Amino acid sequence: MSAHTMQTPVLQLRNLGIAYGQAVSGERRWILRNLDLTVNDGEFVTVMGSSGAGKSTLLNVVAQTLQPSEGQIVFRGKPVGGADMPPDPGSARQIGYVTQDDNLLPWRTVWDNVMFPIALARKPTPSDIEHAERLLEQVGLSAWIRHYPHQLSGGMRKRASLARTLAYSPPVVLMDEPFGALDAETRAHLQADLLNLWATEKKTILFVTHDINEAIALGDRVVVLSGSPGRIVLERAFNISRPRDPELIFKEASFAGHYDAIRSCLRGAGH
Amino acid sequence: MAASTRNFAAVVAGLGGLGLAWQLASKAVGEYWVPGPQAVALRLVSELSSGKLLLDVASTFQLLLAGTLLGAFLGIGLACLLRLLPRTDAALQPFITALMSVPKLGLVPLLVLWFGTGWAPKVMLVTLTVLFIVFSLTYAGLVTVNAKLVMTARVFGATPLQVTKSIVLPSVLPFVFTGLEVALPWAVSAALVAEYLSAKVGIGHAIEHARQMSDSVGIYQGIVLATLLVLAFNGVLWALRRVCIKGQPQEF
Repeated sequence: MSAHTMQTPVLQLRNLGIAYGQAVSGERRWILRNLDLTVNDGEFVTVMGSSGAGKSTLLNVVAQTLQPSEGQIVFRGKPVGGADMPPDPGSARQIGYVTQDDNLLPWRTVWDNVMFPIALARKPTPSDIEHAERLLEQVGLSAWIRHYPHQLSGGMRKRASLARTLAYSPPVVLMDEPFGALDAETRAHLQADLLNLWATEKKTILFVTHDINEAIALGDRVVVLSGSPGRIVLERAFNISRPRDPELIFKEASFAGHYDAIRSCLRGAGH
Repeated sequence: MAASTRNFAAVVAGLGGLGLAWQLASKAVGEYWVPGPQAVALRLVSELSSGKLLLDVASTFQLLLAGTLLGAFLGIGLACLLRLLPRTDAALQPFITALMSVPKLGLVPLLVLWFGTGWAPKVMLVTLTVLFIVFSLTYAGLVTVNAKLVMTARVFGATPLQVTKSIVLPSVLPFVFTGLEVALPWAVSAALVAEYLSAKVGIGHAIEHARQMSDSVGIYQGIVLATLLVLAFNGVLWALRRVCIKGQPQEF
């Protein structure tokens, strides 16, 4: 289960950089530059960084909703995106993206939202339907599948959004502070649900957060972005056994050490 | 259920109040100036049995339906075309704004001069009236399509056609319906004015004919018919909206 038993690289970012402005006029402003990262199969990597360090930009580039200015995105050894390739959002359904907003389609029920990505590619099979039903069960929405998004609470919408991305089974899932706007209790529930889903669905996850507790509670490893242009200033593996209880993560013997290392890194470069 | 029963009761009470006020006004100023509801109802029944009423309503209805469908089709088409071609859009916007400012009813004499007194000028007037209203709202709807939803669908691997069908269309439909609802009374007004000036049949013609005969009951009857026509069209639109648009809180 832990990343240290499987070391097959699934996602590699090679010398990735993104800039705004024109190269010719010399007014390019680099948001991210010279970024190299390897994420192994089944690994849960959390991404932190001071505000404005380019965390969300990084995920947008990996999801290819933003075109990188230089570098490459490699999936299972094959380039799927990069500065010299036409953008292919989601890399042909290999990379899922759970954004900060739930982005549910307001005119579809929870069930039709969850089936939406599947139905784009094929007529849903009985096993697709069974998978979606199981996911909705796991996120506690079985009783809500006929409801529309505006009838759900924020936490429920997040769960529906999560189930929707997992339902079409992209091997890699990007998550951009998915639980940021929720109250502490709802967030703790969702964190626990996410760890369960990650264990059963065997995903590779790149998870952006601004909460150090969350980064340690969920991740196998943290990557801290900082500076301008943003680059990776810290990579740290946690080696905390699973299953974990995200709410009680601070009781782990190694917690304080990880916490201080990340915090000093964020502080040192951030302000 | 209780709420809809109460709403229904409110509608009945409103209609009753209106009828009472109409009756009192008729008593106060005299049957000639304001014919009472009974006189108008009796006329409606007699014209219904003579067959004239159905002919008039059918004629106006056809004019309205043809003009509205054509106007909606052209308005939606123009909005989509301009959103797809940003340069053409930029070039045409000033002309469209100028054309929209022309009071359509003022064009009636010109249209009659150009196209005679047949179907063409009347349908054209209704079409123009509906076209610009539906165009404006459809365009606004297309501009406000949520880019995040489009991007989400693309990350899921949606083709441009799938994005159009699953994101753009449901986003724009409420705007199109609102456009049609706003355009409807204007379309009926346009149809009536066109019929005042050039028609041998239709509600507008009946009103104008009654005016020439100093037949106030006839005028009232025409106004009631036109209002009923608007209400009927509105009912159809409302039902269509219920069928086509899901998942948003219903305001009714």
